[in-house]
Amino acid sequence: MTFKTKLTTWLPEIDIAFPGLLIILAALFPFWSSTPAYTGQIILLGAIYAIALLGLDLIVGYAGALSIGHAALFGVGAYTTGVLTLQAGFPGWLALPISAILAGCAGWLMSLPLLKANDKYVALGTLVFGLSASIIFNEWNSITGGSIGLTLPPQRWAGLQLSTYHYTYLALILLVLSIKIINTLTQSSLGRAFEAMRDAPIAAECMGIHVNRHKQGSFVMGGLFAGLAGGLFALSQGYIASSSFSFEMSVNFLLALMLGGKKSRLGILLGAAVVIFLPLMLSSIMEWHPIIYGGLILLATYVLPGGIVSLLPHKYTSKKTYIAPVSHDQKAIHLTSHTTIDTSILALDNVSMRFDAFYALKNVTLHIKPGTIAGIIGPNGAGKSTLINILTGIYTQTDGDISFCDQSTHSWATSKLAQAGIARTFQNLQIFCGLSVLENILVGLHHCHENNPLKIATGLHTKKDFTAYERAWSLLHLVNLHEYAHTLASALSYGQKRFLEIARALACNPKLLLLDEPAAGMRGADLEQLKVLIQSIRRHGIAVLLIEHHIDIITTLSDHIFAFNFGELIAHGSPEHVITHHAVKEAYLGS
Amino acid sequence: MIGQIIVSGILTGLLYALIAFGFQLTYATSKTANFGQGSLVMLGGLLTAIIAPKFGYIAALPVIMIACAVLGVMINYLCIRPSLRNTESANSWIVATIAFGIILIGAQEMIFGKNELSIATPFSEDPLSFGNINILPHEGFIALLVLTITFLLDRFYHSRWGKAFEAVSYDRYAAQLQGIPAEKIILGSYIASSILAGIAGWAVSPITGAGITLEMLGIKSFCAAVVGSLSSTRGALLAGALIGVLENLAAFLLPSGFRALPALILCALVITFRPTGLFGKATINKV
Repeated sequence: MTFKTKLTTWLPEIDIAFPGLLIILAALFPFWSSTPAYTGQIILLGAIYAIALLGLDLIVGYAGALSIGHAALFGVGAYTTGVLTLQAGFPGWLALPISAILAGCAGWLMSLPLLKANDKYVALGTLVFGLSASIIFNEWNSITGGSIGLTLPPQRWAGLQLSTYHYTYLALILLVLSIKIINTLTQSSLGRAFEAMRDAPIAAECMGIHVNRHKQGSFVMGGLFAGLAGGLFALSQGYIASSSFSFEMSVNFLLALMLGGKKSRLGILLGAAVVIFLPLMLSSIMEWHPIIYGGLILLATYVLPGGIVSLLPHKYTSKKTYIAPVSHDQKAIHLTSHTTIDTSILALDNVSMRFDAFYALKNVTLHIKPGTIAGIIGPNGAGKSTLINILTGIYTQTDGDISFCDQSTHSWATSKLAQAGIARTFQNLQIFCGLSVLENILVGLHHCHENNPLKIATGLHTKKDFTAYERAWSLLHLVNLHEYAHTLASALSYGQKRFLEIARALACNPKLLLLDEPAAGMRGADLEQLKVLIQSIRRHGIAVLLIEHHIDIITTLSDHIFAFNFGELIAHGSPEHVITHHAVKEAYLGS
Repeated sequence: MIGQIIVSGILTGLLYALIAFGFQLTYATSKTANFGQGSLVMLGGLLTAIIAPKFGYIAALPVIMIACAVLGVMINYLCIRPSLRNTESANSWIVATIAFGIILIGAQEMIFGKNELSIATPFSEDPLSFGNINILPHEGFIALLVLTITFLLDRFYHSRWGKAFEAVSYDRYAAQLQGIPAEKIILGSYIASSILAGIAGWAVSPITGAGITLEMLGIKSFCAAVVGSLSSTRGALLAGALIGVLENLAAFLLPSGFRALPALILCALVITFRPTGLFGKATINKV
């Protein structure tokens, strides 16, 4: 299937070829090294660190959280393997997966602050988690052996006594598998969702992506890799002591990731190499270590934020090659089944939104029928955007009831409302800048992908992706952006970004589309195209709530206009009725 | 016994509060804080150990304040300002301040050596007894010092400059438009915060000695600041005392290595369940 090969070349070539070459070169070490035992041990450690770093990259590079406690997860893996093989007599091959799973659970525990706290507190939480874990590793002598450590029994698998050689190859095989899994995950809808929520969390939430759950997921998956690496570390070294899992190690992991380069397999291999070779090179000036390490971190933070990888040529020239599908079977806009229903799709009853003593909305009652366009007008500060923010669950109203499709939506999360069929665009553009135009649309199509990480990692997801992918192309044709499909979304013009947001919202299959000043900054031909597009959306049975200042657009398109001032509904009815209404004139022009 | 544990816990906790005030100052102006603050506490202690025997305990204070002020300026320019000016690296100050802390600790170990240095207290070594509770005169001195600084800070927050701090924390750009030099105020908060950490090291070193162990005070105080609320001096005092008492209890009941654990676990629980801090809303005295 030519399609599949095209879909799997999203990664820059440099990130497939170079890591592959490096790993093959490493695997051939008995042939080129004059001290194979020593070299093998170095390669073994490098592969172990690289596996742990792949996990950290998911958390930091893709999901955009900061973890200063990765060594704790690594340690949970190592001690699980240590205790299971030493005290429970488990064979190493069985202890490894259990270690990974337990470290995944530890990752979940570490991610709990995400539920309520902001990202700075979450970072502090990981630091506190890491420090607590290192105290426990160091002091719980009966289990962990403390600073004296644990000596693991030698491993004999199927009659074979495992030596450093065997472990080196085992680590390299596991590294290749891990890279494969990470490549698949990060190129899937899940990886796209990660990058989307890093660039514009609220917009991602409005595409039906539960941001916190995804961030937590990154910690769990990061923990799995760290735990596997930790278990392998314990088995292969045959000895673990608490000093290997301290705060310094967490900092080392971060240094490796930042110095090598985030979101890059090559970067991770380079980073792991730096962390291993640096102490060897500096062994004669031990006391300078902290200063050099700290200096390198500062350097990586502010001078070289892309890491070493960003210095290599061609990193950004490799194009992501999606080809346009041959067939256009997929309809861009899905018909909603609600066209025939005569009752309201959206009903607000006496809704108020109060910030301390200030009412942004006061006792608003409005009903919207399916397949109609409701225009919302009002001067600045009238409460228009507050209304949209309440409808999408970004605020919760302080009073009153909202029902959507005859269901009360009280205290629904933004992503749940999006999944139920409320999509929106933003007055202040919220596109996913780091993704291409096509990928932006694909994020909107998140709901038609297979999003189960297990199925993605095992490659059982591709079929659903093709349909989504064809649909994305149809949507691009609809808004005339197909020529820019592979351009970075941040490079589009202002008007094009507005159309991209509408197409992305349509990808969510909305029953109700909220357009927050779609014509702002548009002129001439763009305005005409916008009108045609909105009318075509209505014909598909989608209800549209249109906030606009262009009186021309609002009067020609709207079936019904609601006029607001100071949070109160001052007039509503047909366009002619509302724009000639005395209260509306007064609100805009004064009495 | 239990009375002694509580009283000396509260006395230790006051010191945590003193360092926590520094986190509150910088968080108030820029929503950032120095994750490597412990290195400055350590510097305060080590400079006391070097200067006090020759020139007297008090003579160490101005030197420490100047050294910490200079480092505060460096932290602001190297770690904080680049991050605040570039929205794409909005959280890079976290890693940057950790790195700066690591560098500072490394440099101190190179200059002063790795041994713990002891310092004689200028006060009497005989404890004052209240019933069966003993308090060292030096501990009493620390308590007085912290309460004085708390009073001064409260006065400051209610002054015109305090209001400027508040304005910068709400909206840096809007404050700038009102003619408030936002970047200078942030710089000032880092200088003040660093000086407070240095003073803490100066105050505590005659009891604990000076060395790498003082570094841990940074993170414990960060916990106190978070547990109490990053915007309330009273909250920091209460949380500091709570952590100090918990620590003493842990040291009494568990092996000594677990001493730092309660503060960390309490902090993790607060971040998870009540990120605004235990005393966040109850206080009038909002920053």
